[in-house]
Order: sequence, then structure tokens, then C-alpha cells
Amino acid sequence: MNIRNLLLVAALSATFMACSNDDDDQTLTSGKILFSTTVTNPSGDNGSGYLQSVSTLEGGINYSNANAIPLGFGSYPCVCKSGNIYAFPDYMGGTELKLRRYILNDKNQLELKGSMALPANSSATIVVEASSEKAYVSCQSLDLIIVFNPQTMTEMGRIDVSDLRNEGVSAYPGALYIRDGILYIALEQYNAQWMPCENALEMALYNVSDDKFIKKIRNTSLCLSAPSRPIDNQSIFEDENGDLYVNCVGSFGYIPGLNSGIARIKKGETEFDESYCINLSETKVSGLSCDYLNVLLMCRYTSGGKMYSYGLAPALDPTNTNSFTARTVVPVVIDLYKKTVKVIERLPLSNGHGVAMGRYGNKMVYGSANDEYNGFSSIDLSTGQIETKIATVQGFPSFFYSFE
Amino acid sequence: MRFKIVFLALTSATNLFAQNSADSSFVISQELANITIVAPNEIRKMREAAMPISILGTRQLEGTATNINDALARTTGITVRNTGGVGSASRISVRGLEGKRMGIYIDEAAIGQLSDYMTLNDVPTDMIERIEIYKGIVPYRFGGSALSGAVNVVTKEYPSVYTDASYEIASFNTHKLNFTFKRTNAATGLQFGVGGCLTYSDNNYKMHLQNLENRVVERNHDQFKKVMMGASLKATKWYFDEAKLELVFTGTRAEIQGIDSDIREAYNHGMSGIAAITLKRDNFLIDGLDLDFDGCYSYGKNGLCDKAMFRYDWDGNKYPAVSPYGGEQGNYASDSDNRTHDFAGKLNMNYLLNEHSTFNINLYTTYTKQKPENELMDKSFGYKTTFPSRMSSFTVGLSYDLTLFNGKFMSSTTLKNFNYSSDTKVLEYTYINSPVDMSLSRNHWGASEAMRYKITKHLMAKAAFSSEVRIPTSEELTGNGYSILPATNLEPERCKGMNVGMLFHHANQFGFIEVEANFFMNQLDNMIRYQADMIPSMARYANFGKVLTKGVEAEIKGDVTSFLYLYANVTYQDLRDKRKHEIGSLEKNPTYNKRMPNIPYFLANFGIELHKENLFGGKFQNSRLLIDASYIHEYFYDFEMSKYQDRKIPTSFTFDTGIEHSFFNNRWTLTFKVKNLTDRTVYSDLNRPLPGRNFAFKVRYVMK
Repeated sequence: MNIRNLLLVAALSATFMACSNDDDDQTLTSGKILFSTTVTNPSGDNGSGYLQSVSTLEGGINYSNANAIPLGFGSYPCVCKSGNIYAFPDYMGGTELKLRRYILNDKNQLELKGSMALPANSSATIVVEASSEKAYVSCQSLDLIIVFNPQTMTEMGRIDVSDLRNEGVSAYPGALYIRDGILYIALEQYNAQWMPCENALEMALYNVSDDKFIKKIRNTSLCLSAPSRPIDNQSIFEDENGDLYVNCVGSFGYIPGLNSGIARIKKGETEFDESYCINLSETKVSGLSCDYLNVLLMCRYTSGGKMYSYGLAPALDPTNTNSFTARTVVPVVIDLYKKTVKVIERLPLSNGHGVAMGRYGNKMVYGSANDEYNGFSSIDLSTGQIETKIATVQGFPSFFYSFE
Repeated sequence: MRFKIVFLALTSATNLFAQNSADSSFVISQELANITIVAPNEIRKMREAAMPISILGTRQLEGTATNINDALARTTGITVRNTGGVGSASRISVRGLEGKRMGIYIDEAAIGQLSDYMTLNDVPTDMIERIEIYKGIVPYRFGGSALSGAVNVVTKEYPSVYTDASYEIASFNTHKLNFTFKRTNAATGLQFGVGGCLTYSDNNYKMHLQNLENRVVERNHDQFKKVMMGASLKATKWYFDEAKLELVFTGTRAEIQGIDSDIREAYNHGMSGIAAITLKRDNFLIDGLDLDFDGCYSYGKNGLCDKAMFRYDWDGNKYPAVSPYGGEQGNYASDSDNRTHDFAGKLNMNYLLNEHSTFNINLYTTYTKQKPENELMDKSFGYKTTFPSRMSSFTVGLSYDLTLFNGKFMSSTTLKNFNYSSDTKVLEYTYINSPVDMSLSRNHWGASEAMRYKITKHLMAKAAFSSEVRIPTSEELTGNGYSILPATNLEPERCKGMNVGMLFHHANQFGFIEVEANFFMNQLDNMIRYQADMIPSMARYANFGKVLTKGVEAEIKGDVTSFLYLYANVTYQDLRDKRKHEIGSLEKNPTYNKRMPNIPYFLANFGIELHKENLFGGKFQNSRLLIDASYIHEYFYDFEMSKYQDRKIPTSFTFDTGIEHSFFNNRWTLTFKVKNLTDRTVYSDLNRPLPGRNFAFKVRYVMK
């Protein structure tokens, strides 16, 4: 047998062994429900997100990622009121440095409409649209906001907020919000560990019409820090009264004394409301065995002051240091007006990675990575009826949005 | 009789790995008195060992390879993942398992502890006798803990009077100078040697930026400088058969090349001084008891200097560093000054009871003391991030070698006990800026069994089984003080494996023909992996799941004619995730049974060597033409979950060629090499472009 034949045999045997029996693909590929999951690689420090549109959450259906679109690891897609769906590069770098704009087309399928190059080290996660031709994307690790045209996905300008840094920290623009023609940029003022150094809330205000700097606002009296969760575009939101609420994540509980909670900027005003604050370190949670939450990881406002959320309470599983197995994330409902926080009974606890949330008709859907399944549960906003395991997914459910 | 026992010992598994070998693939005949012994040479003897092993001799090392990694990459079951040019970081894997699971040794001394100062690639190929690659089982006499295999570089044992000097000039302003000088005093038996090497490269090759629409830029901040100097004193007429003292100095400065961004100032630096002592004596205290002791102490300082106040993209746009104190490549500024004291000691006692039985005890201990300082980083984080630490380990290996049926059957059984302890300060789980004292101590057991049977003179069967343990590293256990939190409940990784294979070796009129095929399977439990926390700046290591590997590898090589040598090998390794459920949940693991990502699974190599003496007339001249081809099939960086999966390391198919001509019986050798002949765009790690076509010319002088 000559060498050529030997090589041929080896190649054929390798080809034969390479065949694998993947599960049948039963994924629905279109629908008005969007969700993404996160699957971690063996090294643990990277992986991929998977975004797909589906038509239903009924009947305990199991969705695979076979037809899902890979996303950057560590960031959630961002859906704007226009229907534009933005997907970001990997939060820590490692994927193509592009901001991509998708829509749901007539077939309710995700369709790529354009992309725009982003600078390296952007850690971009939030887009807010001022109009169909003007939007902002925050590049957190660059102290930069890029102004762009969503239609053409071309850069129109840049807002540099590095001058607004405090001593020893980076300005670190977090969530963005536009109200009354003013762009609110949350300034997290993080140190190198992405931790705040003082109980202070700061935001930079810019005029949307010309992108001119208006002012920086700062509050220390509320004893909260880090205004907004920089990867959750709904951590700054508006209620039906036009008041702006800000989910301040503090130090995630890692540094005692640097507090998390909810702050407010009232309608018609551009300063933090010193009379309003929910300080989570002082707010006892009804139905929670350990009484207090460290931080709110996700916020979804409905109406009447009611906000549904996922709260983090490491004390629920104090000896478990494994963030995959520690069930330390608990569904809660918050009455912003009465400043109360209450655990939603019978919804399962999750880990810190499976925290997708979104409204689905008259229900609030909770993604969950729990002891039994990875998937979705819901609570009826009118009756409070709980449904668990309404659909299951592959990986940790990290993002949910419904156009229905 | 005494001679007979020594000869048996030479062919037993115990001593199959001894140094000081001849470098020929031919059978060596020795005649002593009336006895004629036909003994296989060292490389062949090792190939006939029970353990799965590949050997690279000088033939491969002095071909088109410019460094050890090049040569290793052409071996069955081996992949080398380079991240750049000369001096860049690289990862070697054996049958898919890499990194901390691999043991790296030079002359059987582990260099893992010296990895901040020295890598395998730092050893000039001219100084290497051979490279031994152990797959699955690490020989007990190496000591320490390694799971997936080991690479042992055996340096040359020079003649009593020897001079070797070479200079290589290559693309990208690369210069390499090596020299070795040795003299022996016949009266005292004392041997003196000095040697050293200097390496410099700008590494300024053009690269495609995958994340920036394949934009082409020239690498502009990847300069590498390295100096190594060594001296040795060896006595062969004292109480010990060999007593050797070696002193080595190393110095390195390596700029950091940006890929997605244009890094302009950051660099790593390191200096170290190493002292090593070796003592060997056969028939120590009693007949049949051989002693082998190695001790190595090193003192080093290293650091990362990254205090640029601005970062740049490839368009020249300037951005402030994340930290107000600077830093281009991360969130923080750094000007670290880390001092390390490392000690490793190994005592191997081998007792030859009779022609059938050999016992061995191996004691291996390590001690590492670290004193890191980084004021700039402390300022960036707002608290002291680095603390002194110490870690020690002690491994005891007991082994028994059995030889039966006139050496046809050979078995090696090993039992190991691992003990390690650590003291340091760590960040607590919940509160990250208030470190607390921590100490821990652990103990674990491991075992292995390897055997082989010689069916005929030319054909043998091999089988090996193992249950090995890798103890966690200091960083895995105690974190790094700022971004990696402690995980003191980490269990060691355990790998249970088996290898069965056949080896055919036949001497022919031109040299030899050899064919080998192996099937291997192993299961890695409690795999230790990095695990990101809820905020990206926080992470820790955790035990995570189970990986099953099945694979086959085959190789054929040999002298086809008097002037033509060919080799070809192919490896298929199938690593699968075997976690049935999400950790801590009844939910089915979405990646169950999927191929492990970011690990090549199909690779092949092929090479030709044409050689002829006095091709152009004259005397004592030798010419060689070499062509080496390497193929690695594309593989995904992430688990293959979606049909739209896009991050992958593309197929690599490269050719290297070389022409070599030596004069005056190898006193002078000229070599011209072309690497990546077809100028392919090549990656062996995601988004880490490797050089295109490049050239090297080398002149070498040897006097002996």
C-alpha cells in the first residue's frame, strides 16, 4: 500500500467519523416574539448569544438555536419604538466591530438592513433613536457617544464625554434616554474595576437638535450610585406622567455602602428629584427570606407605577460562589409610587445570566435558568396568574421582546 | 552478569528515556569481548516503549523548522496555536488538551514555573538532541502533575571539545545569534561550557484584521528582544557519576501588538537568574540502585508596563484610556514589578531488582513565592490589588516496571500522590475590596498503567491506561486580586485515558521504514474553566463538566531511496462535551455531545527530504532539499449551535521549504528557508493573524 492510499484511507475514516447526529431542527423561524440566549464556551470567558424570532410561547415548545443569528457575547439586543432591532459586537471584543440594524420583515423574519463600523473597545450596548434619521449609540469603554443615521447606518458625529470624568474614574456612559428634546446620558463614573467610587448620581444632558452640551447633573443626597444598568436599555424609563425613573445599580452589592435603587427626574425638570428615592439597602422586600436585594438586574415598567423586575440577592444562596448554579435572582414587582418591593410568588428563581424580561400582550414574561429548565414563565398583569415553563430554550434566556 | 543486568535496564521502560543518545535512526552494533549486542538506538528504543510517544530527532529539527514550535506542529496529535511572530505567545496541545494540562520540560526539568521568563521556543533548535512528546501519560520520573501529556526537550550532550555558533537573518528584521563553547580538562574530568542566544525581531508583517472588514495593516508594535546566557560546570570523576552546576540568565522585552486597536506603548518585560544542580550515580549505596537528583532555583522579576494615557484605533483616532491613570490594552494602568522565587526539586531512585522487575520512587516538590507590586494598578482600582503569596506542592510517585518473555512484554505501573498548599490574601466572595487571609491544603491520588508486547522483531502492540490528576494553579485557586475571585473549593482535574496502538519498524538498505497507528480515548472530569460573573470585570474559576476525546492517529515515514526520505501523518481527534445537563439543573445541556469548540480536529502533515552527498562535487559535503506541508481543517471558535455560526478559524494549508548545504563534514552549514511558500493568510487562533510568506538565511559553524 503506498502513501497515497494510506492518506486516502485516513481521510475517508476521518470523514466518516466526523459525521454526527445533530438533533432535528424544529425551530420556527418567524414570528413577532424575539428572544436571545447565551451559550458559554468551555473556556468560560467567551461564547455567543443567539437571537431569533418566533411566533408563539404557548404549549411548552422547545426552541433550539439552530436557526438563530449569532450575537456578541455579553450584550443584549436593543429594540427601539421604531421597530429597529440593534445587535452589538461582543461586549469585551472578539467579534466583528459592527453595529447591525435588523427589522422584522413582512414574513416576521429578522432581516439585516444595514451595519455601521464601531471603534475597537467600544463595549456598545445601548441605542436610542431621536428620529428615523438620527440615533445615538453609547460606546461605554471609550467615553463616547456616536451619532448616526439609522437609515443609512452612517456616522454623523461624536459626543466625547471624557471631559466629564471625575477624579480617578472613567465617565463611562451607560443607558441613554431622550425626553423633551434632551438626550440624557447616564454617567456611571466607574473605576478600572467597573465599580463606582462614591454615592453620586451623574448624568450629562445634550440638546438633541444640535448635540450641544447643556449641563452635567449630579446628586449625592439620594445616596445612590451608578445611574442605569449599562447593558439594559430600559433601565431609564418614563411613566405615564412623564416622570423619568432611573435604575441605579450601585456596586451590585460588591462594595457595601455604595447603594443601588431607583431615582427620579420629574417631568419638566432636569435635575434628580431629591424627594424621591428607593434605596434597596433600606427597602425590605416583602416575601424575601433575606429581606434585602443587592440590585435590580432588569426593569420593565408597565403602568400605574408598577414595575416588574429581577432582583439579585446573593444571600438566597450565600455559600454558592458559582454564578451558574447559585439561584440568587428573584422576580419582584415594585410599586414606584408606594416605594414597595414584593417577591412574585411561584415564579422560579434564576441565575444571574438568565434574566430576560419583556411584556407579551397582557403578560410579563420572565426568562429563567433554574433547577428544572431554561425557558420562560409569565405572570398575567391583570389577574396575577402564573404560568411556568411556557417554552424552553437552549442556553440562558438573556433577552426577550414581543411586538405583539 | 553485571553487564547483562545493565543492558536489560537500558531496554526496560525505566531507562528508555535516558539522555546522551546517539542521533541516528540506524541500529547500532556494539561488540564487547565475545558478546555481540544489537541494540536499538535511543530514539527507536523510546518508540518501542509502552507509553504513547512521538520523537522528533535532529532530522526534523534541522529541517525547515525555525523553532521548536514549527517542528512540534508536524507531529501526530500535536497542534501549536501561535498568536503572532517571533516571541509571541503560543499554546501547545496534545490530542486536544492544552495549556496548564500539558507538562513542559527541558531535560526533564519542568519549566512551568519559569513560564514568565522562558518558553520552549527559546531553546535554539541547534542545541536540541531530540524532543519527546508523551501523549496521555507523563513518565513518573518527570514528577509533578500534568494530564494530557508532556513535551520534554532533550538538549545535546556535546563532545568534550565543542564549538557551535550560528547566525540567522530572516524577514521582518529578525536576527538570531546562538553559540555554544565547551572544553574538558581530561585530567580532572571537569567540563566547562558557556552558551547563549540573542533574538531580535520587529515582527512587522502585514496582517488582515478580521473584525475590521479584513483591512490590511502592518504590525507596528511587536518588537521582541531576548537574551539568554548560560554556563555549566560538570564533573564526572567525583563521587557522583555526574555532578553538574548550571547558571542561566534570561532577559526579555516584548512589545504588545494591537489587533482590533492600535496599541502603541505597552510592553512586557522580564529578567531571571536560574541555578540548577544535577547529581547522578548508578549503584548508589547498593548495587542496582540508581540515583538522579535535580534541583533548580530561580529568581525573577517581570512586569507589564501599560501606562499610555490614550488609545488609538487604526484610523488614528485618539481615545482616553479607561482609567485616568492610563492603560491601552485593558481597563487599568500597570507598571508592575513582580518578584518571584521558585524552587523545584526532584529525586528519582531506581532499583533494578532483577531482569524482570524494577522499582522506582520519585519525589517532586515545588515552592513558589511571589511578591507582586503594581502601584499604578492599585491606583486604578482604588485599593491594593496585589499581595504576596506562596504555593508549594509535593508529589510522590511509586512505580513498578515488569519485563517478561525476554523483553517482549513490558509493563509500567505508577501510583502518585499529590499534595499542595497555598497561603495568600484573597478577595472575599461578596466584598471585593477587603482582602482576607487564606490558606488551604489538599491531597489527591492518581495512577497509570502502560504496557507493550513485541509480536515480532518488527511489529509491536501497545496499550496504556491512566487516571491522572492536575492540581489547580495558584491563580485558579486564589484569584488574582482584582478581576479573578478566589475559588478555594476547586477540585483538581482528573483525566482517565487509554491508548492502543501498533508500531511497525523495519530497517532497510537505506535506513528504515516505520508505520504507527494509535487509537486513543480519554475523559476529562472536573474540567477547570474560567467563569464570568454577572459583571464582566468579575470572574472566577470553576469545575465544569466532562469532555470525552476519541481519536486516531497514523504516521508513516522512512527512507524510500538512498536520497529520499518521506513522512506523512494524519490525526483525527473528536472532543465532545459530555455534560448531560446544565450545571445545577435538570435542563438538558444545549451543547451536550457537541464538538468542543476552538480545538482543531483534523490535521495532517506531509514532508519530503532529498539529500545527497557531494552533489556539486568535492568532498565531505552534503545537500538537502526539504518540503514540509501542513494541513489543519477549519474549526469553530464557539459551539456549533446555529447554521449561521460565523466565528471560525479557517483551514490552514501551508508549505515550507528549505535548502541546506554543508561543507567540511558539517563544519559549515548554510540554510535558506521559505516559510508559508504560497503566502496564505493563516490563523491558528481566532483573530490572531500569522505571517505570510517569509524568508530566512542561516549560517552555522560547528567544530568538534
